[in-house]
Amino acid sequence: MKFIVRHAWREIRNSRSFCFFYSLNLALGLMGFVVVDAFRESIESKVTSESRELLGADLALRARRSFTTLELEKARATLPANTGEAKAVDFFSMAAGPTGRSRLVKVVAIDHGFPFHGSFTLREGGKKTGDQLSLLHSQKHAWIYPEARAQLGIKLGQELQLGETKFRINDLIIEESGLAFQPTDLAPKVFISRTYLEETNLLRAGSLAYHTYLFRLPEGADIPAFGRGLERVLDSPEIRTYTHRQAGHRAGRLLRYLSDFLSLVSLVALFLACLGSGFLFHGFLNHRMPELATLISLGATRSTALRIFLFQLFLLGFFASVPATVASCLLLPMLSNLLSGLSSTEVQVYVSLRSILLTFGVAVGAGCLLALPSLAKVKRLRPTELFQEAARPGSRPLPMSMLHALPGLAAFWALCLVQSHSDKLANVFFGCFLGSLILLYFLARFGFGLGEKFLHNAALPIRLAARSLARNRAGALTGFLAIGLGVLLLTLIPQTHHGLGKEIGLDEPRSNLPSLFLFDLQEEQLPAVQSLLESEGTPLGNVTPWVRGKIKTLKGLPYQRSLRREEEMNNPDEQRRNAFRNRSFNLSYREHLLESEQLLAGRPFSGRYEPTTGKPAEISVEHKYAQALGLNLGDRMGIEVSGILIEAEVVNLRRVRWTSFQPNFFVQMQPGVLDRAPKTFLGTLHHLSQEKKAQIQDQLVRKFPTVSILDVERTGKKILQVVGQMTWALQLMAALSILAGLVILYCVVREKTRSQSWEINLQKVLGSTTKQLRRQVWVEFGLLGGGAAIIGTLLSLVTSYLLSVQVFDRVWSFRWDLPVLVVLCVIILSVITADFGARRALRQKPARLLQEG
Amino acid sequence: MNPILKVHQIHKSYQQGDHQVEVLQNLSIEADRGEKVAILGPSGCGKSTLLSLLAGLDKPDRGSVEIDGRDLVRMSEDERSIIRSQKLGIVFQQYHLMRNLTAVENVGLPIELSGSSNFRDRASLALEGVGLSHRLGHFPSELSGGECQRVAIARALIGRPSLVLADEPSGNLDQKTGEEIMNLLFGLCHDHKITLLLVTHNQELARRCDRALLLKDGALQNFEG
Amino acid sequence: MSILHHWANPWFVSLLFLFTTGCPDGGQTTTANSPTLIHPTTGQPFRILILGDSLTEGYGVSPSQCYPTLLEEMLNEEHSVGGTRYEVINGGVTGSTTSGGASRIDWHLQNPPDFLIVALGGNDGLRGIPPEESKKNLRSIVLQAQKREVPVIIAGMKMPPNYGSQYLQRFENMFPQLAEELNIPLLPFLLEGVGGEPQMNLPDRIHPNPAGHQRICQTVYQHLIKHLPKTQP
Repeated sequence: MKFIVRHAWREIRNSRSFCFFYSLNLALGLMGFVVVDAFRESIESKVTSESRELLGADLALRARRSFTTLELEKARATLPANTGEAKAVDFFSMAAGPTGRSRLVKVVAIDHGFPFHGSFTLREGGKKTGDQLSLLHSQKHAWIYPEARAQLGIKLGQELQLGETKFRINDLIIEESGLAFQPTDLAPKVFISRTYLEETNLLRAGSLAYHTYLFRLPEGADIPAFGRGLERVLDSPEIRTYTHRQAGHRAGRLLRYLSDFLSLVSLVALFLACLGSGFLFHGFLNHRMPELATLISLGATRSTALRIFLFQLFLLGFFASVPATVASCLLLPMLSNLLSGLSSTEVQVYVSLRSILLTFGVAVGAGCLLALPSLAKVKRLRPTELFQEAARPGSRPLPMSMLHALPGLAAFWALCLVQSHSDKLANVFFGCFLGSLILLYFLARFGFGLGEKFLHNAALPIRLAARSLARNRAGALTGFLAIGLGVLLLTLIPQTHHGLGKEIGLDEPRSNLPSLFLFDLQEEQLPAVQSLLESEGTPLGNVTPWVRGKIKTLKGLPYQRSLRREEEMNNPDEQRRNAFRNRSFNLSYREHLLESEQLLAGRPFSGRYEPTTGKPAEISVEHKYAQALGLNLGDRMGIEVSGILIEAEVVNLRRVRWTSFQPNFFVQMQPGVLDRAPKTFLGTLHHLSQEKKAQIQDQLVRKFPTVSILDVERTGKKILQVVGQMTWALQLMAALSILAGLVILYCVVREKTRSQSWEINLQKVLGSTTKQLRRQVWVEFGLLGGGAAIIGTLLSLVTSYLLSVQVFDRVWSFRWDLPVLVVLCVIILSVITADFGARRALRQKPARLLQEG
Repeated sequence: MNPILKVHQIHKSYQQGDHQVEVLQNLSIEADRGEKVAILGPSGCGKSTLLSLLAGLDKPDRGSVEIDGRDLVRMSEDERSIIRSQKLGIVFQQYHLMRNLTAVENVGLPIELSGSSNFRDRASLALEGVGLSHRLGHFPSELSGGECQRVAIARALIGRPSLVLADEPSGNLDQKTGEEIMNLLFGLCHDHKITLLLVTHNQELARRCDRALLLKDGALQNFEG
Repeated sequence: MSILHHWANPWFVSLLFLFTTGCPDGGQTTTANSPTLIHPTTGQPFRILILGDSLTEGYGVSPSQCYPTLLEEMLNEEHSVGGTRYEVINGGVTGSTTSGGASRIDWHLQNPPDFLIVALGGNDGLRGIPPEESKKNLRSIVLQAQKREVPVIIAGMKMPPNYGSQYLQRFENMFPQLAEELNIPLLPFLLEGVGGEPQMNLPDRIHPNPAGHQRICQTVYQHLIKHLPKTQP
């Protein structure tokens, strides 16, 4: 053992430049991984803390009734010992100010400690966390939204009648955390302490109120696991368990996307790093094979030889990960400073211990695993070839050597599962990767042979390049695989980012957020409301008719679910879910697409409906709704609107960017069909100041009491903020992974050129001119890089599509510019790097190279 | 006295394409301690195969290869490795020095493999013996061809082997250097009473050995030059 | 499942949510009336329109479980005087307030039914709309029906206690006042024995479950038959 260590170390020490090259390349790849992983962790912890603030807790139980003692005991027994607990009750009620005018408000009665995460921002009191609210809890005080002042005709310091008790308004809420289960509320919120809730006498038998228990778990607790535990012990369909990740908030789906996307990014970074290190180790071993034979001829056993090389791999991996980690640690603060200057998002980026350990693991373990097929060559090494003249000891590749890749692949699969939050994501990703690997392998084998066959009449550099690829098949194959997979990985992220971005509406300008959202406007009311708003200088925008329809037939068949459904309906568990499964849906009509819409397939409406033609009415369907119903272009749908059956045909599928905050519906019908159908209208008001908003609300409530008004600005802003952060995160990650990918590709090409320097020099000795050689290298690496990049990009498109289907709710959109750019980039990178490497090789004395060979 | 090398009726064939190539057929050879035997033959006659079998890097189909009374054919690969490190020295035409080891480290490698601790001193002495005391810390790439071969010879002899297999040691060298190298090799083998088996094209060299054999049609016959 | 994802689209959720929390939201359409159900020998059926909200539409239960369907079956089985076939038209629209009803009645009266049950107001109450406004709308609905000589029953609603006793009182009183004013029969409380009873409601505690719908059907039936014509018109 001592000999092995000594010998390995001596060799490394004595071939410093060689080892430096390897370690540097590997370190670059690992750095990419560390940086990407660090950003992922930071963004994730940021998102976690934000989603915690939305819920105000780690876990919550919510029901539209009070909990039984038994249920609470069960819940508490399930959770760890030092779990914090607070209760909140929220319900609608009519509150009256000093003038006696009563308005709908949402009362939120909270316990001391609420919220566990996040805080209240009060106009007078400033920022207060959950345990700093003693003033609210010690007296009958209430906090209200600023706009409630005008609606209730109440000022700070005055009293608000809630049920049978009065509360003094002692502050205004600018921002709050917690209980963000729904995006908007019909009425402004009034916060009181739960201590005084009973005195209002509003909660009696038959009252409709949400009871929420919020829990703060000890640090490091497995929140989803405890969430599942709660779900198990509380089997009542009336109780819902929320972890902070699924706070029912509209950003929930986005957060899930982000989390999955980040998992994907880190998988990609991990694979890129492994790919790079594996390729380098592979090259390293091939380089050392003749010496291995010598060692055996000198009397070393094969196992000694093997151990020496394994130890060297270990040392090299170790040496690469140290600078990679150190450099990342130094680089990250700089990078995050730079980035925080570019965006409003503050993200604390740091390298976690987990990241570091994983880096070392990847550098040492993954490299060895990937090198296993090469290590297997040691077993088959034939030192007898040392005697043959000009022989280069090596071994013939066997098909069986593929088997040696199995442990490595298995380890990767395990890593995928560890590194990703979603098993599905990990499996799809790994499956695609494996499939691509196999496909690339066979394409390359086939392609090289074909290339040699068909290019044998081409110009000399091309002919030589093709021959070099075909004859040096093992080397060319690994290079091709590495580049192809590298390109696959590096384009996967931007491609997925593109699809997600389209869906979220990343490029949508922010100013579209309406201040108020009006609905339930009656047709005959509409002109009066519009003229009132017009006179106020705030015209009603996005006036949209809203019709309720029922699906009667779908593609000519009666729209009915199976009989089983009736049974499901009787099962309370199913009843909750079935609330969403229905045949009724909202629809509207208009002539043109909005700017927040995009036609995905089909054609625009042909104009107004002509009843005389007897043709079906034209409808445009939101693409995901169409997918859910199994509708395609040209399919027919029977829609019943208030007793009248309308035959409709899908003429187009469209995408709606909901972040535009323009009112929209899944189904739009061409004008001329529903004009006389019973309907109400929606509309939005934009750009209102706080005062103006309060004034308009007050006026509308007074003159048109049946019109419902939603203040979407408060939540809308929060959502756009989250979307903004996501945008930033997605773009950053996409950019980082491209960068990391290019670095790896550079390493791969560099190593490939280095390993070919012997052949290059041989050719020079044989009389090739430098110019000829360089041209040949260009062609060879251009072909190799280009071919691998094209196939890799295509595979990446397939992979990103599969991922979108499996993980991202079919959010996928093709981006043509990126694949082209990547292919060009990779070709140029390959050619330049190869040219550089070739020139370096040519500068050496060929005789010496041959002698050493 | 038992012979150091005793090869008895070995047979070796390779599958090449569809047909069997009989490389060695019933080949036998013996060499006593300190004896110098030359083997001559045209290219492709099976000299490399024979050397591989003698070095224990490969096994014959039939027959036995005894070195110092121990039959390599019956041994495992690891046992053969040990025999190689203890009883055998090999000098290659292309030197096959470890690129990343200095001259002294290259020379010390075999005894280090067999567990010697003061390999550095012994290797320095050995290098002194081949006239390279001034080149101890140099890498093979910094040495001339002749110097490389001297290092290789020192490496082959450092473990005091019973048998040295030399594969055209001067094949890569100019005539003068080649002669110097051969003188060195012959001298050292003579001094230490080491049996030398020299594979060469060079009839003159063959004549300097105690006897010369010709490998032809897979078997050895006396060479009358 | 995929539909759930769609609903998860935040903007659409916000639209939907309004009507699942603020007001009874109908998900299920009910097709109590289907031309094929008409008895071939009796000619024109007796058509009863229920103008309502999600309670009528049958939110969260299957079309065959909601009370208009049950009512049609019950009438045809137990009150089929001289072979009269009844057809109950489900005019329930999710989220409908009284003003929504007022704008819809016109459409329905183009082909006037033989009887009208007005079951609206719940959403108004849940949204805190002043009862005077709701009353105005309900009055207009009844008057339009009366203009076309369609007999009307109005169904009363109650609010949960958390809206405050004062508002509760004003809201509940609106229905008898209106019935008296317009001289029409009153069904005092549509959700008699259902409202506030956990075993009669879906987990949302607002919308009746299948058992609740059966109970509503009983209530409506008991009141309705008192006012149905003895012979087919």
